[in-house]
Amino acid sequence: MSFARICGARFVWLRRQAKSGEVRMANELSPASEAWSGKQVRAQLLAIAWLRWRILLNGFRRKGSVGDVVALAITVPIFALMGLAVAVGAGGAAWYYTSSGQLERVTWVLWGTFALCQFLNINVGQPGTKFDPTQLIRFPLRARSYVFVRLFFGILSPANIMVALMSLAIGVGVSVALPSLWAYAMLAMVVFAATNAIFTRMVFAWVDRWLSTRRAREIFTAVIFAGSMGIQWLNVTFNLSGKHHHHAQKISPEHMAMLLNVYHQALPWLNLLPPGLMGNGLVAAHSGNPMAYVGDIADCLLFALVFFAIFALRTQTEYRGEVFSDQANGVKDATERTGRVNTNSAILPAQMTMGGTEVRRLGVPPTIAAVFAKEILTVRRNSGVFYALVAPVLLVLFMTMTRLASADNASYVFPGALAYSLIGVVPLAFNSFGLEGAGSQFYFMAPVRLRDVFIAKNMINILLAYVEAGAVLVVVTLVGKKPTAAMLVASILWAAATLMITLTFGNRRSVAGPKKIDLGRTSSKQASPLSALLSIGLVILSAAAGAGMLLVAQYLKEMWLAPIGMVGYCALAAVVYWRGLASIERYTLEHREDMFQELCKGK
Amino acid sequence: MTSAIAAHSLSRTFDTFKAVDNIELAVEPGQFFGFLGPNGAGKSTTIKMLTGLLAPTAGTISILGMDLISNPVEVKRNIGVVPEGMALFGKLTATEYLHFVGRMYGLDKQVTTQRTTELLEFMGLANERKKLIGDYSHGMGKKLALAAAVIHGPKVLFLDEPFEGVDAIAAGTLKSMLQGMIGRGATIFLTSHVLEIVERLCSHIAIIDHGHIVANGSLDELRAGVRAKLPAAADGAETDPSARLTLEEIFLSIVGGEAGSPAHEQELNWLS
Repeated sequence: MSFARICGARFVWLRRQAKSGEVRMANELSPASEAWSGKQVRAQLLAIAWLRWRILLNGFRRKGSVGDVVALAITVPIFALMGLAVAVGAGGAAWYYTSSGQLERVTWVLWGTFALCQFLNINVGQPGTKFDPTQLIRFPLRARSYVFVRLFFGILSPANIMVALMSLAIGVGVSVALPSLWAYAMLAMVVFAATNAIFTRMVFAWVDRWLSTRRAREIFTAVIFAGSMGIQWLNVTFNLSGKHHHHAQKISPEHMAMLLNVYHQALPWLNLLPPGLMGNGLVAAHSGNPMAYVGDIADCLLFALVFFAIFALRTQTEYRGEVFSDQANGVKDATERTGRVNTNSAILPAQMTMGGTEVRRLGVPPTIAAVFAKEILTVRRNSGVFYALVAPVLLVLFMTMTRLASADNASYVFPGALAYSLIGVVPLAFNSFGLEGAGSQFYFMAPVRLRDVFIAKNMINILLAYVEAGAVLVVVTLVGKKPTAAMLVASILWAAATLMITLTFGNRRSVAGPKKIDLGRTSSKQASPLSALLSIGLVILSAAAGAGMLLVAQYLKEMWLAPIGMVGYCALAAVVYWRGLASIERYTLEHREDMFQELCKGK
Repeated sequence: MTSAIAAHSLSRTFDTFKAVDNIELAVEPGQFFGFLGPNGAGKSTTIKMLTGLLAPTAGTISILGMDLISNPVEVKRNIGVVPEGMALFGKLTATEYLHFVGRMYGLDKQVTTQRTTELLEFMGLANERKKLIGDYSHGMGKKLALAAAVIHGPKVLFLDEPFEGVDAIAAGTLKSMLQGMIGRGATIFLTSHVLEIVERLCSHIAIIDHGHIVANGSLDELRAGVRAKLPAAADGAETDPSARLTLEEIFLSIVGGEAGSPAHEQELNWLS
């Protein structure tokens, strides 16, 4: 059909505009003057809600998504149950404090709820969405509609839902213990949950702005990492969970007095913040002072208003087109680089770059050495991988320092710690091309065997796993108890077998179920839900098999049987790995479309 | 007469780097305006500022006589944009996407549905309407982005590399459509590295380099300007005035093209 015919017969709306006048036609240069109606604004908001829904739904419209749905069907109820348990716990604590005449201590539960909300928002974010709301600013959306959209859609994060549940549970707990307070408690909890949610939106709107550059994200991740590790250290060192193990360090009376002093000094200030205000409000209502309760509610609402104002300030700036991202800064870098390309460095063979030289000397084929060198660079530039490696070692260190070293079954500390540390490494092998994205096509264009590419990537996984194992061994030996030779050999062999089995599955999942990793998103997960579940499941299964062998050897009082059993396990795993590797070329070529669909066609 | 697009003292700075430095632009109604420049010159930054996607560090922007900063909604109602990277939603189908865009521009459901059908057919995407956009080829994505940019009948159209990756047949159809819009009085602001297309379509051209507008005018004006600066032939003969400079020659003359120079060839002499 010719263009003229299309324009004449089918593209009639361009002309009809002029005739009907219902929409200003293109050849009138005076701008449209009709006011933007409330109906149109509502239609916009509905369209955005519908867009989010379709993105979520269509996210399952790809090959292999059934597996992800199954994985979600398994993990979501587990996390939901855990969330419910925490909520019930919060409600139970509120009920206990209220019924035992310590209503003022409900404030502690509220502070816990507040802290958990921030922790979950940092660690969980909004899983399953790739929606960037800043894309909406190109449409004729009012500034206040944009602020509303940013507030509303961000508010439905798992953390905020969790906090809403906890607040409800606290309200119910207080109401059950003191039925006369039910209306006060419920209103206070609604205000508290709303303030919490708005506070979170405010913080993250600004954090997003600060985290728009890679350097800032790395610093932020380091701070969060240090904070998480610090809490773990405090927990195991001072046994904050309340289980007073004889080896946990008790807080000395001097330290306790100091801590209490700090707490009492800070208390008046903490009471001015939303959790304190709501706790005090409940106490005031209970003591027959409803005006003080209303004052506390009003103060909390004032906080919510201030949080919202700060959130709106940031969002409106975003609406006006403020950009702080690396992409924007990239304009500068690209321009500065223009004309200064060093063609010599661009054509250096990859095996001559960092890491490759050493591998090349070991007689490894050049293509494997080149991919290995590239992987080393990738790992070096991915702070997420770094923390995934360091965190288990530190946790092993803390645990060894306190509880595990003195446990009756201390001989199992090393294999247990090794299995735990592998959980951090193994998922990386289940999405080997995730960081490369569209660049993974290079392997299909270059004169390389795909088998070699997988070997190089697996070498990195094995290297990381054994660096991890070495660190764990050093920690356990120096701080805790040195494992016996039989246990050491058995553990190392078990790790090798586990790696070979998981790498076999991981290589296939990297092709059939890859996940594009966006380094610009702090909450970006390292693998698809099914891959993550599989990787952890395989490590657990393998750990169960290994533990079985160790227990049998211990039962027979012949520990040397354990390494022998592990040799057999290792040989079996090697056969599985080798067979997997032999068919990986064909498998990858058969499934390359699935791979490219996820990694290369991101719009 | 009010300019369709007017930018005054427009600047954008990233940290200490000035991507766009104090530029002046005036595009008259009905013009097909080409905006050219080498990579990293500031083209996309300018187009982002003109469409409200990026806030200027300094300066004012007026579209159809309306200030963009104080009337963003009214301005956006009257413009269509094919942005750099297309900004499509990969997890929607083409039909879903155009429906969404139509609703965002205030069209009612019936009109949106009708125009979606017409545009998909016109762009040759009717058979692909149920496919996820993420599975589209680059060229198909460009066509869909253009369909989304015109669904509300904009008076001013901003196109950032609209022909990149589009096949020759589709490019011809799109060019005809754009010329048709110009014929009906619309204004088009186009950036492209395909200088032949710009030369054929655009009546006026501006060239930006290192954030500065280094040339602005009709093609004939640019030609005359470049010819005036050209040195006399080595043998002292006058340059043939009837020999028309192509836009590529004008462009290279203004921004200083070095590709193909003996120095470059020498650096890459390892190429067979």
